[in-house]
Amino acid sequence: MRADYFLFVFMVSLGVLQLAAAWARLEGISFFRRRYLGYIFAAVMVGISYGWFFRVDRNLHDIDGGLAGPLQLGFIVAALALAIFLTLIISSAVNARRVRSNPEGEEEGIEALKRMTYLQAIKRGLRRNK
Amino acid sequence: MVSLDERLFFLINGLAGASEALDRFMKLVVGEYFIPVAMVMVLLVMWFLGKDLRARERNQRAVWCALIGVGFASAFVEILNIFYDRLRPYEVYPGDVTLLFHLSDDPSFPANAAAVGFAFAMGAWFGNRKAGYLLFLLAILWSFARVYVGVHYPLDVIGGAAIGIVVSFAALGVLRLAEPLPTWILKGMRRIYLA
Repeated sequence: MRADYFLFVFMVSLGVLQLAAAWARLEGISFFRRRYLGYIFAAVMVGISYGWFFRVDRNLHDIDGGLAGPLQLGFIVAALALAIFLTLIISSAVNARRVRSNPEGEEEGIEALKRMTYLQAIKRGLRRNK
Repeated sequence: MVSLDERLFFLINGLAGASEALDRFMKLVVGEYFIPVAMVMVLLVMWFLGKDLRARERNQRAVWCALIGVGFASAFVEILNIFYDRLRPYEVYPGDVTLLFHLSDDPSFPANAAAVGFAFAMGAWFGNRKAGYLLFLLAILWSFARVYVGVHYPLDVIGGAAIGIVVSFAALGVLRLAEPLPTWILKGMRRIYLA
């Protein structure tokens, strides 16, 4: 149950992050060139994850294998963190050539990820701080 | 004498068992995984959205408010459970309730699911009305399902919803009182491109 729940939240998060990337036009963290592919990926990931996780009855009491609230919270945080980390790494690798970094750009925070990958943004930040 | 609350309970719980498809749907959404994960995902999308920096920051503050509200709601319900122990409907009327969920050992009032669901919704609503309405719909569905499957009275979920809404205002107040800490944290996250 624990591993299933972690995988479920991780897969849903991975899909939802691509939905957010497509919706907010954050090219730098998108896995795809075309926005509609981001929406399709999100729908497929969310659909598959929910379908797979709920293929069996999950309404179990904590003492019968269900997850207590604090444990759920821990798994959600861990799965979300992993999904965000992997999204930033994969999208930075996939978009390294496609997205052109703009070192002079003034965009701050997430806004910068519209025109550069996460690693490009971090590099730019480090250069500025020198 | 059967109270209005109990009559309403039997009216809603009486629907259980009539349609296999509806029962299956309610059993799916009533649990601790389906709707809570969907709610967290709505907050995740909110974190990234916003037509400009200001709108995005409003969304992000609302996400914090929702998360703090959920924490407050859970804590409040835990404390209330120490002082007030209402029996579950299936304990009061064994044999008369159609039970589609596992037995619980905590009190019936207030419904923790409703408190958490409405805290999510109210917190999000402060920053983004559309996301808030979507989460309110999910919270209502979750709360209704708890009555449908026979684990709560309607008053339990109404009480839970009221707690969720009230503690969200408290969470909003705490965030305002904690200024400039939330602003510093947001700025720090912005520096590493995570906000």
